[in-house]
Amino acid sequence: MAKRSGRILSDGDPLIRLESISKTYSEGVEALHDVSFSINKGEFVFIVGPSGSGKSTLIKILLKELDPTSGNIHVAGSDLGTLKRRQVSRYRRNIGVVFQNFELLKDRSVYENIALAQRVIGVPKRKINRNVSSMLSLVGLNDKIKVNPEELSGGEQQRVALARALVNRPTILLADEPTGNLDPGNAWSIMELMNEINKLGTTVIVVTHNPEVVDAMQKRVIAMKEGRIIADISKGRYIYERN
Amino acid sequence: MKGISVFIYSLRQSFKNMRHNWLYTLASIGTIAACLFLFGVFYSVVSNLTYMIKSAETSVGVTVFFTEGISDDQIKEIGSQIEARNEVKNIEFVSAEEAWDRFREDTFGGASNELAETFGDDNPLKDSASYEVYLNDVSKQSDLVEYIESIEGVRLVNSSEATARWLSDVNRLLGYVSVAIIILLLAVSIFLISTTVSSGFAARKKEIGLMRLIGATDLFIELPFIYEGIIIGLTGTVIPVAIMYIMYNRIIEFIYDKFSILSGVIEFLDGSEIFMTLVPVSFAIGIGIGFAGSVWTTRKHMKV
Repeated sequence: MAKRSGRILSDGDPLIRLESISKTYSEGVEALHDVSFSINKGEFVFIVGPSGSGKSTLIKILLKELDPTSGNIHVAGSDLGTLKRRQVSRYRRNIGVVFQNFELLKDRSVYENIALAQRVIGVPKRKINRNVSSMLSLVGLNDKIKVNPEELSGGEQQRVALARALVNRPTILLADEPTGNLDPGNAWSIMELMNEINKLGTTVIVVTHNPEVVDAMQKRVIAMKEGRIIADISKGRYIYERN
Repeated sequence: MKGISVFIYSLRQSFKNMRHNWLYTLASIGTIAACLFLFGVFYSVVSNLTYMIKSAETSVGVTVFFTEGISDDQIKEIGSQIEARNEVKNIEFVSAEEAWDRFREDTFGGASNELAETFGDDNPLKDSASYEVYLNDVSKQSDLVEYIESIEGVRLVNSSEATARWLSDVNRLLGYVSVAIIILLLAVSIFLISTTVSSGFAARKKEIGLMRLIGATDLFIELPFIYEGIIIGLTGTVIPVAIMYIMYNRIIEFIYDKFSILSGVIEFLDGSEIFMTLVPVSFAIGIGIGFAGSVWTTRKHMKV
């Protein structure tokens, strides 16, 4: 039994469970249609699909930035449909997020960027120093602690973003096109890092367009098209045409 | 420990915001300072005028004369009836002899005056015994005069109702004008604080979006902006209060010095009496509008 967000999660229960999720935007565009799947604790899952397939909407719903038009979502024992506004921040602390364009604050140092995640949850300064150092060791950037993000390469910036996403020790790591702005070498290095993090017990969900990475990693693949799941394969491959 | 670290972080962010939006910050502080300075000036003027009216009320009395041949008991009865009225502060009986002595003093400048001596022991004001009636509230004078005139044994009632009414009207008008100007300036202050906080939100849009995604509570995001409003309000209060504090007694001294004819005619309130109320009220208004303006704006932005 594991306790998450004040609710009890039984060992056999999936960490994430989506039941018949549909989302139609106010303009009438249907982004998701009857999407259902489960992800167990400790899994590594790729979500793949062409532009407009509903991947971004799915991420926003998982982060509770958007509410589905219909259906239920349970994450770490929490029913997202019943979460009150003030409970959403606590829920999001379970999820570390990594973005394609890194989303680092340009006017702060590497240390400040990572420490921000700790500050928002009220961690004392002494613990922040220790945790930031430990995360920078994990991503191999200990010598860059005082550097401004703009002085770093794309790969290094994504490592900083990864450190920020992991510093609060989330249950789930959600990465939206984490290799989209990186050269193949850096892309591989980030994926290897995510694989290591997954081995340490964090559930990793990666939304990607990168077929080489998906094919090589041999992880579960959920493929989407026009708001629907068209395939859900363990040890799957990138099933779309390659550009 | 957690609270202190959040407080220090939020305070640092407030100063960072203010540095970043220094022009809006200065404009907000300036408007609050102008608003509270005017408030201080109006408050001082209205307080002093109220004080002068109160002083005038004790000198602007009602004089009651009796019908000829009235007995002492009847005069005492009239006095009791007047004294029983709520608006009456106190009454003084002036005998015919005292009235004549006062007249001689005021008109002839002393008992030794030859003209006054021609009356010998005769009292030309022998039927001029009277009550001098002083009021708590000068605006009720006409009601009182009407009442006294209806009492049997009263021959004549003299009052200076016009003076009393004029003083009351001026005070009321000044009160209305000051309230209107202050409300207008308060609205401008809140608008400027709101603009300052909004521009802070715009400058930190990316950071705020990020903080939301990594689990920051609404309060954690709002706190730097709320502190910013409070700091602006506090600074905007300290400046005018300090100026007023330094200037008030100097201005009063200047008026007495340059217009010495006024000393003894009008009397101003002491600075300590003004500031005993003005300081806490100004701080409450300044910090209040800073707090209210920033909370209102942050809530508006957080709903998006």
